[in-house]
Amino acid sequence: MSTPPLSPLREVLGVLGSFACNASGEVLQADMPAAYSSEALESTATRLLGVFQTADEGLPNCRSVRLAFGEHELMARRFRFGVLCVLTTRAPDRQALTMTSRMVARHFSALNG
Amino acid sequence: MAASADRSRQLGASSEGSTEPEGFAIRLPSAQLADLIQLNCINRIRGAFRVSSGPRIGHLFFEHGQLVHAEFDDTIGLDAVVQMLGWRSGSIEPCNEPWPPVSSIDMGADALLLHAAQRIDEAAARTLPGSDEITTKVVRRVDWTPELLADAETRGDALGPDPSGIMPTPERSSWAPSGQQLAELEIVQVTAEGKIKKLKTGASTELADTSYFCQHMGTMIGIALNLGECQAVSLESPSEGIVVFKGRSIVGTRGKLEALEFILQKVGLK
Repeated sequence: MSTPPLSPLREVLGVLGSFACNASGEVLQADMPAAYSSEALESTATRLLGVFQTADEGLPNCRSVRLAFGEHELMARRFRFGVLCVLTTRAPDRQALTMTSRMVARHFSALNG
Repeated sequence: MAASADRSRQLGASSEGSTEPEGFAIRLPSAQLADLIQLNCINRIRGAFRVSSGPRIGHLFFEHGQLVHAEFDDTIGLDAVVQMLGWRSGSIEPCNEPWPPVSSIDMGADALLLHAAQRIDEAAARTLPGSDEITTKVVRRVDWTPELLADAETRGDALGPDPSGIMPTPERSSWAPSGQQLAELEIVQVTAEGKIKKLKTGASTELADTSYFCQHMGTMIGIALNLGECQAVSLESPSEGIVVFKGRSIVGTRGKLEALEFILQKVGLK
């Protein structure tokens, strides 16, 4: 399911998909490959929030979490609306990803208050 | 070769009806002592070995995949290894030297050779400026793995940059940490079962718990999204970060973002 707020991320080199969740872990929108079920995204969002909560105890103001896998990387970044998660290859255009994520987050925050 | 000879004796002893030990005795003129130490450790040889070079004779004792004791003249431990590694030629063979009452070395082969290489580098810088023949043979065997980083760090060794500029290749120089870099990081090592193995540089049990939890969550996310094993997790605030990566155990590091850069680079998150 492709949605306009997340679609700019698709233009960034190395980005495979993205999804956004609120502070409760509820997936708000997703632009992920069809192979990923909504249940898988929900559980991932919940776990990422758990990582953020754990990080808060020892790393105040933790803003981003990145996970490295064999051929993929998952970036999660906190914004006002919740968390923006982006699945990439191991060599994304990091600068473009950071800037585009902010832009998408601003748009998303405006939509989701 | 020494390792083969000793292993062959072990094998021979268990072979029925065999009066000759199995295996091969090998002469490798180009082999280095560091190579043979590693080979004995890899093969988990247990035994005493005589190292000879002209009139000089030293002894090495291997057990449980480690070099546990070394002696040469009045020196023992790492000092003795350093001296023997400096010999340009010689031989190593099994012997019946009495087993030492206590071990003088407590580290794996890679860490041992790294430390020895550093000592040799320092000695070369003091006495043989411009000479690189000895150090090159040793340090080429040492690779920076997460485990080695943790081992070296938790032992509190100053892993300073090679003063002669020989050791780091261009790509390795971006990874090999300096003593200063390591000193700026809190480091913990946790087993896959969640038990704390080592804490270093003021690291807290909280960092150990966080590292274990994050690695576990990473694993679960990898399963849910079919991404494979989670190799590393990076948590970042505007000025500080925590990087967790997995080798044989889970290693968690915490520090300023600048101090973590070389680890992020190594785990591919930079």
